[in-house]
Amino acid sequence: MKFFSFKKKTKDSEPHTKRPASVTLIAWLSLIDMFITILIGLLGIWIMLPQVARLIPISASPVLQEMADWLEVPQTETGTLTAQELQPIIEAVFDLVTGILGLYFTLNFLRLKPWGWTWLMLYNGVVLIILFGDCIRGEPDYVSLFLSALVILLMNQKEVRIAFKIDKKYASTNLIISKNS
Amino acid sequence: MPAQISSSPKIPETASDLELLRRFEPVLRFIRGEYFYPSDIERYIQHCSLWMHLPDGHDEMLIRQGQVTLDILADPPPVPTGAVQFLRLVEPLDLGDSAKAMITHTRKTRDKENKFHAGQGRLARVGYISRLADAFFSLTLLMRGRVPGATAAVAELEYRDAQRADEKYVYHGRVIRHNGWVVLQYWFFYFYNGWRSAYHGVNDHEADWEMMMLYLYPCGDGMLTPRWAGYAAHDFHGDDLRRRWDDQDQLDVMDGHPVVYVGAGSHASYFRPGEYVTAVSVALLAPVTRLLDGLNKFWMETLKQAPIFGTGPFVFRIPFVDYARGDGVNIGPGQKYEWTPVVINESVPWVKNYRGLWGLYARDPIAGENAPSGPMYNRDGSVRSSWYDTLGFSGLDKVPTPPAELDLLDKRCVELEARQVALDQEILVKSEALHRLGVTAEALQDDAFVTKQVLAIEKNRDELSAGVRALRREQTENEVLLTSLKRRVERLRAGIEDDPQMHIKHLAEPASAAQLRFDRLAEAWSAVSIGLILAGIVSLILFNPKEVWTGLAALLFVFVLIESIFHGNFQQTVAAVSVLLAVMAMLLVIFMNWQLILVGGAIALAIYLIWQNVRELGR
Repeated sequence: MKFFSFKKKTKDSEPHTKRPASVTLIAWLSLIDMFITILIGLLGIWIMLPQVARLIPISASPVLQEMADWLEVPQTETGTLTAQELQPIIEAVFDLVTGILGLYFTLNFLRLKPWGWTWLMLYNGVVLIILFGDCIRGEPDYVSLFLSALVILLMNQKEVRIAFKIDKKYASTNLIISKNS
Repeated sequence: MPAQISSSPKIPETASDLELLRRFEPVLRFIRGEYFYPSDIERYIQHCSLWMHLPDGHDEMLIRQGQVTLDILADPPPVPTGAVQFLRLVEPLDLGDSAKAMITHTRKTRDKENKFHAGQGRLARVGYISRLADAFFSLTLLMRGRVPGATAAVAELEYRDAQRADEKYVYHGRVIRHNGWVVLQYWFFYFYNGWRSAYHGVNDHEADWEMMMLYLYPCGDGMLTPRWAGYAAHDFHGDDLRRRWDDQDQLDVMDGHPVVYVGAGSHASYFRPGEYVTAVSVALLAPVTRLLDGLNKFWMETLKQAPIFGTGPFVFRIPFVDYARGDGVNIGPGQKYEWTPVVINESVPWVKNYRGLWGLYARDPIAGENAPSGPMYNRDGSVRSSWYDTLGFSGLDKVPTPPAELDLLDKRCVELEARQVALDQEILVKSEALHRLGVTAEALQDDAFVTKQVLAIEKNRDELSAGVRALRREQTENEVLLTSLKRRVERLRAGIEDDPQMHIKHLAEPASAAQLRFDRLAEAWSAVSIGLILAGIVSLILFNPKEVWTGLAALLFVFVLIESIFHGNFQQTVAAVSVLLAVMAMLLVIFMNWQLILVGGAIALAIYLIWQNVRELGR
């Protein structure tokens, strides 16, 4: 049984929409990006497990205790972390959450859902703002900047927008251009 | 689907100008709360003085208030070159007079039945950049000449006095006969245009002339019938100004009288009731607007990208709402107030001889606050195109009357058929000649002693071949054209009309219900959003100065997205903002890594060349 169906589900009455090649390309780029982000998040949490363990009262729950044993997390007392210790954990969790969200948007983008297009666009916009922030802090990541910008520009192509019926709602405008009367 | 010809009202061709005007005079529907209605000019000029503005910058009164008459306007005092002659309804007011006028006006206009409600504020309908541009526009009003604040109140009081003494509603009508069309031109004169002061619009000025036209044609039985209605809107030109008489979607007709929905204060004419968002360019920002428009064009046409800001106007245009709801006073046949018509033409002396402004010359360089000239002239004294070219004004100069169209089509078909016969003959003759040259050239191919002769024959042959090809192309094109013409003749003979809106390129439509679905929260948001952004910026500077730029970008991003939810264009906004960020990112990447990009490009080129050469070796 297939866990995910990447083909766009259509009602009987709806004609089947063929997925443009650029949509597939964007989806693959995004999928790779999201998997890398999730992996970085997981790795970050893995590396920071001893610190994470201090935030959770493991001994209070047998399930947590079992997991901690399986992950070979050293037994430590529950307590607070310093800001320096906390930051990488937050970053790792952020990566994991955004990666999962991005993956969800990408899968729906692949299924030609208009909201998938919108949220993937928004996701990449937010990523760009974060990357600009990194540039200002003197930690530029040009590869990520380039890839996110490329994905946005590919998504903005007319054929992609048409495939997602993006411009249908905005086809007419009733604003009047005038000279100063 | 084309509309069928509907039964239209008729009037004998022999009717006088006044009878024609009266038969089709319009119904004007004003907004609730309008202060000024179409008036005669005699009562207006009784309240005016006549002035001239001299090139050295000072104003000089020529004739006192109460002494200006139509005879004076028929033979106005001469003015030196470069001077501007103008009437002045409201004399200069000091602070005390202004305050008194405002208080009196407020007291006298406290009419709950006829009160204007703006509804959704115009700034709630547009984005941040437009709001900033609006603030800039307001600042320019301080620097430009403008009509003084209390002028609107005084003008309204004077109009009330005039109406109280002799209530009447007047249009000035003119009948013109051009190219088979009979054009009925209705001019409406108002004491004052209070769009800015009363309805948050673009401008205020003393005196206002507005116009609409009806186009009649002789339908063959000695009668005239209307075919088109053209309303002079500020924002449209040519074909977009007219609607077909049977276009029920776009033109309201009441018992054979067209209905005009009049804009609040602006007195602009609209075919449909509603609220029209008008985007006005700020003259000082025109170069920026042009630059952005150019970039938008490059973006869409060269880079094949979807538009960032939609296909509508670009950002540096200020939105104004022209309220043409038609829920107030109605003037016209069968209405509470009926018309008093005045027939005018070039022979009326004040029309022809007075080229000055009909109200205050406010010294506004972009002219929005200066009063207009009369029906015949522009502000610079040149003749209005709507006066001398009534057909071209509405794009009808290229359109014959329906009966004439059929005759023209028949004639064109006969001409084309004759041309096709002639082409048949010509192609036959030239084809034979071409064959002769062809076989001659072939026969001489093996003879080395006649090379020059062969070359000359081949040249003639090629020229003739090109000629025959051109004739065949013309014949084919004519055939297609003839088929289209005949099909049109058949349609017209069968009484099948074109789509009545086929000629319209830009259709003025009132804001739809979807666009107006702003609730009080949206209104409140628009009022506080700019303030919140400023507070956010200050907080960033105070509490997190290291991240001020990133924080600012994030703040703006969030605000713009919230705003877009209120406007119902979240998807469009997300795309626009993300694409802008992507362009910035690409530029940054290129700028910071140009050496790497050059090296990478060179390596890629080298690999490609090696690959090509290796493939060639392998073959």
